[in-house]
Amino acid sequence: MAAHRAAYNTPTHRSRPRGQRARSRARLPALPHSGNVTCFSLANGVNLYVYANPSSPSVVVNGYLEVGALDEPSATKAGLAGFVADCLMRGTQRRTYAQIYEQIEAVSASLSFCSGMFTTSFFAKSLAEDLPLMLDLLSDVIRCPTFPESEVAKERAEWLTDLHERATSTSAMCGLVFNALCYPEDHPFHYATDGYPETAQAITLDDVRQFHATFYAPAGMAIVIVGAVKAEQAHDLVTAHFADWSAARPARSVNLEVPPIAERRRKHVHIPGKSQTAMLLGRPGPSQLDPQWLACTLMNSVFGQFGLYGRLGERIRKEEGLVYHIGSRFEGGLGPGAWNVYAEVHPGTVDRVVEIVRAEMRRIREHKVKPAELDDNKAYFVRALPLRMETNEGIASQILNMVRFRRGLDWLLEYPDRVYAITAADVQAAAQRWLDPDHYVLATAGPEVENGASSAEGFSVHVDDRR
Amino acid sequence: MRVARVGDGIVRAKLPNGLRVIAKEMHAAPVAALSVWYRVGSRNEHSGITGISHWVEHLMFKGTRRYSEFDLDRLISRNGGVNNAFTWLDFTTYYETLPADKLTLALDLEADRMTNARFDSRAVALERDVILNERQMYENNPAFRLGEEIQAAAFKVHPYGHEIIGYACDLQALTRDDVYAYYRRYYAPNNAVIAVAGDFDARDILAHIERRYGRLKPAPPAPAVAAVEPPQRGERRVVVRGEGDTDYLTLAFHAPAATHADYMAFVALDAVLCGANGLSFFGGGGNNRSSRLSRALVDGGYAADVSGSLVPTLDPFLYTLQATVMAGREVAEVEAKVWAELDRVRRDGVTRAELDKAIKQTRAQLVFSTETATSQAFWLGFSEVIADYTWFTTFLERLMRVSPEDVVCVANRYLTRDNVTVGCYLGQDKANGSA
Repeated sequence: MAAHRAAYNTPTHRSRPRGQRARSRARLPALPHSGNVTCFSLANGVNLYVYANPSSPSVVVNGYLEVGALDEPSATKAGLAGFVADCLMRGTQRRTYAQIYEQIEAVSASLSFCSGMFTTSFFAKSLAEDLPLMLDLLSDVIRCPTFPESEVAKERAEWLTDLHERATSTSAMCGLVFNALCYPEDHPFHYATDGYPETAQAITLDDVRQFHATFYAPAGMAIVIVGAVKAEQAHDLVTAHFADWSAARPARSVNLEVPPIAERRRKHVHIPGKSQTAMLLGRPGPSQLDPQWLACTLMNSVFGQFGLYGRLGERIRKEEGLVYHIGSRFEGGLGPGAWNVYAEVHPGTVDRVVEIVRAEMRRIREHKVKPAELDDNKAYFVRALPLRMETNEGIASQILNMVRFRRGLDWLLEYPDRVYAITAADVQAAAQRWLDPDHYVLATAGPEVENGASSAEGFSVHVDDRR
Repeated sequence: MRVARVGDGIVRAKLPNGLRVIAKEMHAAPVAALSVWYRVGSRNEHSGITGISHWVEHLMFKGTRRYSEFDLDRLISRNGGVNNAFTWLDFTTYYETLPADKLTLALDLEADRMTNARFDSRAVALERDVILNERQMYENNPAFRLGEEIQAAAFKVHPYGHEIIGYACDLQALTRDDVYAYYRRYYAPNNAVIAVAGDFDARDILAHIERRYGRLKPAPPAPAVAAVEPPQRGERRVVVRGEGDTDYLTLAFHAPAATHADYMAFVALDAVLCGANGLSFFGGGGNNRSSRLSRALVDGGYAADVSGSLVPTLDPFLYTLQATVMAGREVAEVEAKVWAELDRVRRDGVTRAELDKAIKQTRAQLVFSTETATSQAFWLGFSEVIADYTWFTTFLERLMRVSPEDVVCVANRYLTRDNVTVGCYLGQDKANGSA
C-alpha cells in the first residue's frame, strides 16, 4: 500500500522520464493479433489471452476483475474497493501473509493489485519456470482471502500513513481538487479511489469481507499471459485454478453522465513549506469507447506530448523557461475521465502559464494543424509501435487494452491505417469538442497564492487553506 | 580502430581519438538503443559550480550548428523513437531508443552535439530558469530536502556532498562562458563511451560510428578528481523539519566503491536486509515484504515502508536505509528497530538459505533488468565507465562466491555507529504536537 519513494539521490534528467517500456528477449513474431494470440473462454466467464514468446526468460500475467470503486456503497466508504484489493495478500485459507510474500520473494517475482473506478487490475512477473506458482498464488489471493483482523489493521495503518503523505503532496492534492471541481458530488469521479482519512477509519472489517464476498466474481475477468509459455499450458493452469470458481456479483448500475462546465472554476489548496505549485487545467473528456478517441489522442499529442511536450513544451518551456515539466493528457478509460494540462510551476507564474495554455487552446481550435506537424505526429504514433512491444509487459498491456476497450484483437494491425486516415479537420473537431479556453477547471496546490495570482479575470477563486 | 569480440555477443572497440565503443547484438525485437556516456558528473564539481554538469546536459538539447533545438526532438519522435539524458554523480548520459533501422539518426545527432552544441546566451539563460524550476520541484519533496542535508553532512571533502542539481546560488551565478568552457573541457571523444545494443550487425554499426566520430579531435585529458573522503570518526545527525505529519528516517553509511573487494558482499547484505533491488537506476525490483527489515519494521507496525540503496559508484559513496515512519510511531522507535536488526546481523550472522535467496533474487532481477535494448546499452555503458563491461557480465558469478562470513564482515566494517549519518525529517503538523 505504501508508496515506494525513489532513492533520494536519483539521476537528474533533462526531462521527466517516461514510464517503463516493454521488455523481452525473444524475436517477436509480429504485433499481437487474432492470429497469434490464443483465446480461451471458461464457462464461468473468465477470458484468457496467451501470447507465446518462447525465448523470453520471463513471463507476465496481467489482467483485471470487474470490480472497482463504482461498486462502493456510498461516498462514506470511498476507498473500500482499493482497500479490499490491498488486503487480498494479507492471508488466505491456505497461506499466511508471511508465507505469501516468502513464496513470491524467494523467486524474486512480483504480484500486485490496483483497484480503479471500474476494475481491479493485477500484475505478476516471474521467471518462466515460476509461472505455475504465480497462477496458484493469484487464484488463492483472489478467491480465498481470509482478511485476518490483525493483518487488516496493519494494512489500514499503512493506508492512513499514505493518506497523511498525500496531504502534503502538491500533485496529489491538486488532483483531488481537480476531480472535485470537474465532477459534481453525485458523480463517482468526484471522489478519490484511494479514499480519505475519515473513510479509511470508518471502513470496518465486515465491510471488507462483505465487499469481497459480494463483488469478486469470475464473470468478465480477463487474464493475459505473455512470455515463455505454451498456450495449452497456460490454459491448463488457468483452468485448474479458476474454472471451478462460481461466484456471481450483482449487476452494476451507475449514471456517469457529466453536466457541462459552463464557467471557469478555480480552487487553490495551500500547503505550507512548498516551493512550487502543481496545477491542473481542464474539463471532463471522452471515454476510450468514444469513436473520436484516436483523433483526440492525436490532437493531444500535437498539443502537449510530441517531442518535448508538444506545443505546450515549445511555448512554455523552450521559449519562456517557465516550467521544467508540462504536458496534457486524456485520462478517460471506460468512463469519461478528464482532459487536462498538468504542470508544476513557480507560484508567481501560474497565471502566465494559464494565459499561454488558453492561447494555445484557442489556436488549435481555430486553426487546422499544418500538414507537416500532423504528419510528424502520425509518424510518431505508428513508428513507435515496435518500442511498445519490446517486452512482455508491453505486449500484455497492448492486448489488455484491446480487450478492455473492445477494440478487437486486430486493432494493432489496423492501427496505422486508422492513424493515417485522421485529417486536420478531425483534429480540429476533437479540439473544438473537448478543449474550451473559456469554460474549464483550474486546480492548484502549493505555497500561498501570491498577490495578483488569485484575482484572475472571470474566476470565482476559492482558497482552501487546509490549516 | 581496434576491435575485439569479447564473448556474450559483445564487441569492444577503441578509436584512435580515444573514443571507446561497446556493442551488443540483440535480435529479440526490431529495436536498437544508443547511449553516450561522458565521464563527468557532480563528482567533477566544486563549490561555486555545483549543478554545472546537469546544466550542460540541458543545453545539449538546445541545438547545434546542424540541428535546431526543435529538430533534435522532432526527428527522434517522428521516427518512432524516444530520447532523454540524465546527469549522475560520476557521469552524464544521453540515450535514444529507436526502430533499429533508424539508429544511424541517433548516431548523427549525438556525434554532432559531442562537439558542436551551440550554447546560445538566450538558451543558457532560459535553461537556468528551467533548472531552477526543476530544483523547486524536487524541494517540494521532503525526501529530497532530507537527502540533500544527509549528503552534505556525510561528505566533508568529496564532491559527492552536494546534490546533482546543484545549489540555487551557484545556478544563479554561473555564466554562459563558465558553462561553455565546462562543456569544452569534458565533452570529447577521449572522455566518452558509446554503448549500443539492438537489432543490428555489430560490424555495420562500428563502421557507422567510426565514420561519424572518427574525425572528432580529442581534448586535453580532463582533470582528475583528487578528493578523498577521510574516514568518519563518529555518528552524525541531521534533522529537517517541514510540512506534513509524516516522519522519515534515513541511515546513511559510507560504503565501498563499485570495484572494491567488499562490494559484492554488500550487495548480498542489502538483499538480506531489504530484498534484492531491481538493477536499474529507474526503480524496479519485486515485492519486498519478507526481508529482515520489512518484517521488523513494516510487519511490526513501526514503518509504512523500508528500502535499501547501494549505488555503484567510482568513489566510495553511501549505503542508505530509508523508512517512512508509521502514523502514531516515533522516529526514535524506528531507528532503534533498525539498529536492533543491524546488531543481529553482526551478532548472529546470516544463513546460507538467506544468501541463496539473495542470489536467486538477483538472478531474476538481472534477467528483468536486461530484457530491452535500452537496458542492455545502459548496463554496458555504465560498466565501462565504472570499471569495464565484465563488472556487469560477471555480477552474478561474483555474488555466488560471497559467503555468510563475508556478509558479516561487511556489516561489521560499514554498518557501524561511527560510520553513520542519521537523518530525520520531522513533520510539523502532528495533531498531538509530538514532533
